[in-house]
Amino acid sequence: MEQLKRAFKIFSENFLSFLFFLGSMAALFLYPVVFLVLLLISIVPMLVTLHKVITLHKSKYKALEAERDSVLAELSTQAIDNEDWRKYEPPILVSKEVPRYFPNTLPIALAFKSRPDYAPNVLIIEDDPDVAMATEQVFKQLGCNTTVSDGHDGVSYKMSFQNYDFIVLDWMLGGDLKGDDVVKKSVETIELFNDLRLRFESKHPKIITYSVLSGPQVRLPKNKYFSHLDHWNKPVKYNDLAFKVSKMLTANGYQGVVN
Amino acid sequence: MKNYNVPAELLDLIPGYLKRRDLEIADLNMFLQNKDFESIEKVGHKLKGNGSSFGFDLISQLGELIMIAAHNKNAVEVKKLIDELQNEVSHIKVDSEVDFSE
Repeated sequence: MEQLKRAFKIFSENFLSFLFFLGSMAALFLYPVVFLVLLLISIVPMLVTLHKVITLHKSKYKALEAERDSVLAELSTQAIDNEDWRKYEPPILVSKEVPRYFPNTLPIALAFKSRPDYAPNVLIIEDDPDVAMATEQVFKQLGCNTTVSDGHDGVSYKMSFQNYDFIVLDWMLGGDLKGDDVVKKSVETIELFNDLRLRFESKHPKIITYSVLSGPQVRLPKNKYFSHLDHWNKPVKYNDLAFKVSKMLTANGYQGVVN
Repeated sequence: MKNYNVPAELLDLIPGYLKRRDLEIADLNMFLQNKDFESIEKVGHKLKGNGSSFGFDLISQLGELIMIAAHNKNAVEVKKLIDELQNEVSHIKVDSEVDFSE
């Protein structure tokens, strides 16, 4: 009994310490639990938001990919002759058997043929069918592959997804469309795809602006995918145009046989 | 073509070119009637750009003058220039010896 009394006395004397001890032990075990609960409460909404963002991005990307695939499919199946004005004219015939290199209009020294192993791909964006046909004729006779667009047929997609070496860009494309709009849209499309970015950063297709406006009035938007090679001021006579094109091709490494 | 320095490569395209100029002249007259100088200026811009490519320097020059006259909203001058354009297109047609009667 005496021992019990002594034990009780000791216990009562140290009761506060005992309580502190119990409190400390509880805190030690509870703090991590509280911490974990708080962490979960804060992290779950973040994870949900992140999931939503990723899903949205994926669906947008898929939509863009689908758009790109459909454009590519359309381009591959459909000849690029959808311009209405084509119906007014017979197709431009360039004899393959007997090539005519400016027989009557160019001095022989200027006659030029692209190097036989590679024909540069040229996109001509021009809303005036007459200028487009004359320009196309020059490039074709110098051995280039040509595509003509009036600027209103999704040409920015052609610029982005197809492999052009030179782009002849008329500035005033009818309506409110200007050359820089076409370039801007193409740049926006390229930015969306890694493979396109890599291709254009290494290749830099060359743009030649072609307009009645003078050079300083024509400002190509700054970008890292296309380079502004030159500005040709309309009107340009056919022979002068042939000379300019020939000189440009030679300067860019497409020097071929001089007839 | 005797009187015009048309590149041999473009000879086949001349009939189409002239037909489109006929349509443009009709458009120009209509725009003038409606005092639509903005559209006239656009047609002038186009003419300036394409005439010389085909060896028709006068068409390019007239195009530029039409642009200026339309910009200044000078209807009398525009009318005069449209008539000159009509004349020039007629001369080219005669010179090209192509039958445009259809």
